[in-house]
Amino acid sequence: MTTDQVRLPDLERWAGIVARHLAPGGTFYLAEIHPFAGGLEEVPGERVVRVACRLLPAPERPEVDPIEGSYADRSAGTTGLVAYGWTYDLAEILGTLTGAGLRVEHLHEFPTAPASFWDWMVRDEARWWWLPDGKGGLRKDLPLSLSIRATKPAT
Amino acid sequence: MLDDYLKANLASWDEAVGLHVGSQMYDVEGFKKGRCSLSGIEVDELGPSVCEGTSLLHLQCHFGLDTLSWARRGAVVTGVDFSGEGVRAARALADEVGLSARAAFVQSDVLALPDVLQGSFDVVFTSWGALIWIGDLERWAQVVAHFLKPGGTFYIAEFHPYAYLLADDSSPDSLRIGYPYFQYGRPQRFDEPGDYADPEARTEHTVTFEWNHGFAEILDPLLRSGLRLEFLHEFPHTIVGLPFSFLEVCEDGLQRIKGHHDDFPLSFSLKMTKEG
Repeated sequence: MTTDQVRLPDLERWAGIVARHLAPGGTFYLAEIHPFAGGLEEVPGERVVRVACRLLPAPERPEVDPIEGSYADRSAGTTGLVAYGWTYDLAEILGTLTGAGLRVEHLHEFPTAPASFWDWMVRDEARWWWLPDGKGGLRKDLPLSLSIRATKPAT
Repeated sequence: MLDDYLKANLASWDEAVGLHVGSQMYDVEGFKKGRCSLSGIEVDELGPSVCEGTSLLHLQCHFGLDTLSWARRGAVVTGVDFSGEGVRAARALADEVGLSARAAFVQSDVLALPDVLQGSFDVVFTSWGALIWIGDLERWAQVVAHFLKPGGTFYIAEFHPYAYLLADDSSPDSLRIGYPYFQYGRPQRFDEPGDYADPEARTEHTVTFEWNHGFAEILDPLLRSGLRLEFLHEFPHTIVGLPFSFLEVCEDGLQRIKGHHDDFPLSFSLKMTKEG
């Protein structure tokens, strides 16, 4: 998977920048691929996902992916590009936000994704991508994206 | 319907108490000699908030081992469990180890607790295999907030929602998904004759109903009930208690995935504070 990878090597610094640029009482909103979905992989030869074991962060070891096409156009010709990605878990995302002085207001999780991870995913009329359930329907049981809202205290 | 689930689960837990009090896993004899039953996770993370005289409410306390371990560390404790057998065993144990002056036990379903218990507490604590028995986390979060003093601490150490969705026949290098992360309020029905503390046991009350809850489902109701998030932590290990064959028990007594000791979260903890 290449679409989900968070491209930030230092989440703590990122949260600090978010907090610094928020006005007191201001709102930070994040909609992102779910860390759980980031750790899914195809079972070879099946249109089924399983959990790749790497779900916890290893900041010193970014994933290195050769770029083939783009999540917006899988058949696009790209040459020689490489992407580095870091795995973050929910604890780290929430922890850096609270650590930067923000107050977490909500965490929501969704069984849909804004882009397809594999070419056999299914897009609905509202343009959300789903995992098929293998029986002609859609899988509603796994978290593929999330949103977090946090505020900067007014005082 | 919730009542039917509760009835089945209660019968199972009433039966489990006798098995667990004598089991190797719970090691009650060791506890009587001074062994602390709490894991390092909750001792490290909640321990600093518990000192002499801290009032602590333990939800879903089973037969009181962890409740009494907090009492030994100075807390004045109230343990709550829906099992009458559990509460009776807890009171007997408190008497036997000389802690009954600082340990009370109440029989109640957590969701009905405000009807039977007065007061508010410095700390509300719950742990390890508690949330799967709660069908209505919205109500549960209200109960947690109800019993916290302003400025008080809620703490939970639990099996990770990701761990609960792994298929039983997974291997360490192919972790298949066997159970849903989102259950939309519908419990899983299990019918198993064994017991997690004694897999050889043949129990009479074998049917249970259990809910896997995702993080949003756990965290959001707590935020809505007026608690502020202090931290969420995730750990690649857990206390012994998950039944999967792809796990191993390590020298430190914790379970990890074979060959992947640092990669996959098996437990989490959550600390929150009531505004005030």
